[in-house]
Amino acid sequence: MSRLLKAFFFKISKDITFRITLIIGGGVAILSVLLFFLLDQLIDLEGVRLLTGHGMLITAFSPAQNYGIAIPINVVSFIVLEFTQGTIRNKIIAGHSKFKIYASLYISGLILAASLLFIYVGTLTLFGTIFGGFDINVATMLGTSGMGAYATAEYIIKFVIHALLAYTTIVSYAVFIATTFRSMGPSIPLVFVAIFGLFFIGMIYGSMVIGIARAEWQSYSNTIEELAKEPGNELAIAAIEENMAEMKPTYDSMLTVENILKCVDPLYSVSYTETYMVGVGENTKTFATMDNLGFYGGIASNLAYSAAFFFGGACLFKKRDVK
Amino acid sequence: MDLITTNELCKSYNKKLVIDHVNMHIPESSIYGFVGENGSGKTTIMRLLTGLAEPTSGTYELFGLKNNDPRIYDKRKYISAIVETASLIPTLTAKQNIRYYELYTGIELTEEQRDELLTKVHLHDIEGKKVRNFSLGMRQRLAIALALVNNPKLMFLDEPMNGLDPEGIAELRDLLIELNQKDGITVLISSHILSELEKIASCYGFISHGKILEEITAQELKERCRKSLMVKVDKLDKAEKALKLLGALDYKVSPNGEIKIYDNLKIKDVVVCLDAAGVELLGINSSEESVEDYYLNLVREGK
Repeated sequence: MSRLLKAFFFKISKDITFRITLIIGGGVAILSVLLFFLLDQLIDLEGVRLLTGHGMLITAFSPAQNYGIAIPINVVSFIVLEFTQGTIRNKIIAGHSKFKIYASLYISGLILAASLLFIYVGTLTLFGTIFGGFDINVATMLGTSGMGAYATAEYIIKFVIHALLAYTTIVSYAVFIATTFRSMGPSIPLVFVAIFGLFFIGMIYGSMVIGIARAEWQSYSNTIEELAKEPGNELAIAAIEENMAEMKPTYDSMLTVENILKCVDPLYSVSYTETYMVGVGENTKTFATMDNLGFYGGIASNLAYSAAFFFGGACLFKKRDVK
Repeated sequence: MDLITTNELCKSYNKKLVIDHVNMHIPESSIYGFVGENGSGKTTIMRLLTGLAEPTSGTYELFGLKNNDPRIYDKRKYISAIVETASLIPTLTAKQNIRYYELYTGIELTEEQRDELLTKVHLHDIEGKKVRNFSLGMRQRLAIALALVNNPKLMFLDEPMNGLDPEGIAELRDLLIELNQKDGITVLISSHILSELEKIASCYGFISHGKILEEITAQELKERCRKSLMVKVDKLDKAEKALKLLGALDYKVSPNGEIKIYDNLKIKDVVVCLDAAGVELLGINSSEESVEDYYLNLVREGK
């Protein structure tokens, strides 16, 4: 196995496409920072900054944004070339077992993805921090949360863990697809469809379905809390509670669907930022959050998908002949 | 001793049997010429033996180990192969391709050894040129150089002469003879250029429609293919005596009344001699077969 990985490092060190993709990653990151920096100078968002280190870190990790999609495409391309150039054939002839070859392709795919990801995330976070600071007390843009959310240190750590696992699942899937189809033709669309499909399910459901309902629910709750602080608001509270009671069955079923998504959609927590509001009216502050079900459910689903793609792919690769 | 043996080896694709109960025996240190028409199953057998494809049924042995023995992976280190097309990375140079091959086979060559290898296949003067700019012949030469990196004991060469110019073919022929005679490397080689195969093969396997028609040594084939005069007579004993008197020394008698004479005798003399001996001549035929004729006859008989 180590010999196969040594050969991979040699090949990748000579690969111009890989170098170009790395440069593009760094370049796109610097351009994004410049763009957000300029927007921050031109538009006053009332204390909210577009460019912050932590905001860039979270946005950069999103798999379906900008550079994120280039990563599985590079992995697919690298693996398909191993088949079309016949190097897989030589490795089998040289006596490497198919499982070891698959495992080496998998590890190579992860290393390739990590290199491309870290250059992009690293550059974006570094320059975001230099020009926008890394202050979690500043509201910023966090992925799909919209503008003006606060991210706690706990949320940032949870998100990074999730994003890394989501990329592991994506790479596992890309390796599985590339070794199964062995050509770019069907592999690229299948990777696109799966990533965008899962991403949009999360984004649309999270932002537009449960997101709106949650905001409404929290708004009611926070308003009741504020009204309860002063006497004489009983009627208003009762009216809001009536609305909440009407809304509850639908809201509960939406939450159930979300809980299922948190456990079965491996990209859910990186495609949608769950938020909660504190305060009412002009004093409202929005915080990004990831509850325990979202965190552990996401970890479990990502690990399960990665393992399924790895072992499923290895078994399929072992079973099928190599041309 | 056989380096490779197959036992009722079968391979099906989409329920169609493409390799049909093949039993092959490839002796150690031989050059085994694999002859068959397009689609006869030569490449599939090579793919099975190199581990690229799994048999549907049947088994094979490599270096005395069965194909399902896990220890076979270790033995495959001593194998190299060019099956169908040359497996090269077009964005790398010839030397980088060799280095890449070295890394995953765990072999460490010195810069001199790499140069030597490239010189052997006449690719020493293309320093820095990427493989994507190579001609078909150059790619084939580089593939041959790669096949030599691990000092193989067994080589599978599927149509290695494709794309080579006459000079390249002659060089490859000499190289294979040298490797076989000097280092005892066993070579399984298929080629459509049967005249070239004839110059190097020490034994042959003839295959058609997925079935092995015959395995034969080059010596046996030579005997069967050399120029001969075949006579069919009614009295074998009398005919044999008469032919001996005429000077026939090298001949073969078949119980069905046929005598195959390999001495250079004139047809007219043979006819007169047999007539004088009171032998009735039932048939006479002069022939000289090439490997190609021999194979075609086998296929016809097989049908």
